[in-house]
Amino acid sequence: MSTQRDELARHMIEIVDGLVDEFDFIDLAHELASKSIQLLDATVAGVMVVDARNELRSLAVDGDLELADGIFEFQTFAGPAFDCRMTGKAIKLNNSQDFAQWGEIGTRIVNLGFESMLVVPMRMRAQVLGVVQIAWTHPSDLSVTEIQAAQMLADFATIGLVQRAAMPDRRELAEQVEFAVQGRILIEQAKCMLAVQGSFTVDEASALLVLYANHTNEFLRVAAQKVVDRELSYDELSSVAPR
Amino acid sequence: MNDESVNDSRRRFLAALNAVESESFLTRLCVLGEKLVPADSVVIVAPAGETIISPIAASNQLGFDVANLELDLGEGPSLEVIKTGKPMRFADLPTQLAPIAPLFANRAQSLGVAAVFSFPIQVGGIRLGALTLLKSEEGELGDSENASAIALNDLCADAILLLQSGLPMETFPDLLQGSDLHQPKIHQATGIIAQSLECSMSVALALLRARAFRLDMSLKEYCALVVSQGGQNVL
Repeated sequence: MSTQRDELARHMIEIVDGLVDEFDFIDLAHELASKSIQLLDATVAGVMVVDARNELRSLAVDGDLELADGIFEFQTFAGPAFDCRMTGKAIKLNNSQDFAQWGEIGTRIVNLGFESMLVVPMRMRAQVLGVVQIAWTHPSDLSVTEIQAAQMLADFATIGLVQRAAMPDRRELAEQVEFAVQGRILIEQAKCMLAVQGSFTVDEASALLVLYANHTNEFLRVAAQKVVDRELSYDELSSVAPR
Repeated sequence: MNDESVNDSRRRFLAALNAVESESFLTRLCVLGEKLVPADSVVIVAPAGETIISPIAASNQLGFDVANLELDLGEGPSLEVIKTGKPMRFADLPTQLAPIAPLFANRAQSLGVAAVFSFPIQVGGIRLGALTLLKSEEGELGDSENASAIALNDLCADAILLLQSGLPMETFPDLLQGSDLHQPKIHQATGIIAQSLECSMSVALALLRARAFRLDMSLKEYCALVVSQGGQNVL
């Protein structure tokens, strides 16, 4: 138990250290998704935010990305993530039977191979800014500590999103979200350019871009923009951050 | 902001499209923007270099005059917005914009502009330009005005991409009913094609859209196919 607490504390300290420095929310979202996987031994995890069009958008996803594309892209108007967003309450599904209440969406999630899920809200007072969604390809029965850890990660995501504005109003928040959404699009474009250049998978390209950004202490967005602008090639990138 | 208001605004714009006549689809959007946001003028500019913009549509001469001011002076809200990718809001032009673009602020004021709101028209790494709303009175955009501005900005991005894809303009009202620009597979496919054909992102997206149209597939379906095949044998 103390080992688990130590590990949790270590991860939280790393996140807080990042929040003190200058950061880009996309990088924070990636880190939180990654830490959700590590802390909870999950298959996939992702940070989703509510955009200016009032729709849930995934900003960063980690884990088995081929499976992830499924559950993060069709819950805009229904599903556990949508319900968490609308109610502001965490939703925990321990096994595949628990998904039945979501009808076709639930069946789609189970057919992708997922058997359990935890969705926690990113809340700023009464407003739900987004959700952190974590899923497993086996049944799970999370402890209270683990659920609290997931909520803490979501709370850090909220802090990261609102931190920039001294007195964040909804419009300023919406613009932060939109900037992050555009960052996600840029990263998707860049990693596929890299995948073609290096003849490897999109997952590998994604990992390489993250490795490069960490190695050079650049924001993911900046590295991705360089790739899209053809100022950074796969050869240059992999020489700085070899796989 | 009311729930669904951006989507409601988009529907309102599309419903009013036929009431505006112009050979230029983007001019129609600007005219609608002036009427429905509302604003005293609406202008769309495209980037033409690091500090150069080119006005491509406006609802009236004031829009063109203000855009040309930015072009002449090399400073202004559209340029800032294209550079940073973030919207710029100046509800009080002399006080808020003058520190950033003093020459522009002064000259724009003499044209009767008291407030400027500029939004980036972009799809990730594809910088398409900027949408700028001009007002003759100081003051922030209200919630419904802001929702209308965002809806108009989305429509501008969608419309510019449709124009680049060479699809017939009469198809635009139907194609604009839904925006599919938030599907990851579309952006992944764009990156794949841009690299495979060594073309820009906007050309890649235009090619994908044109091909999807010819095959009677949705852009999302076609891009999913491109991604699954790694860009092989699909264009």
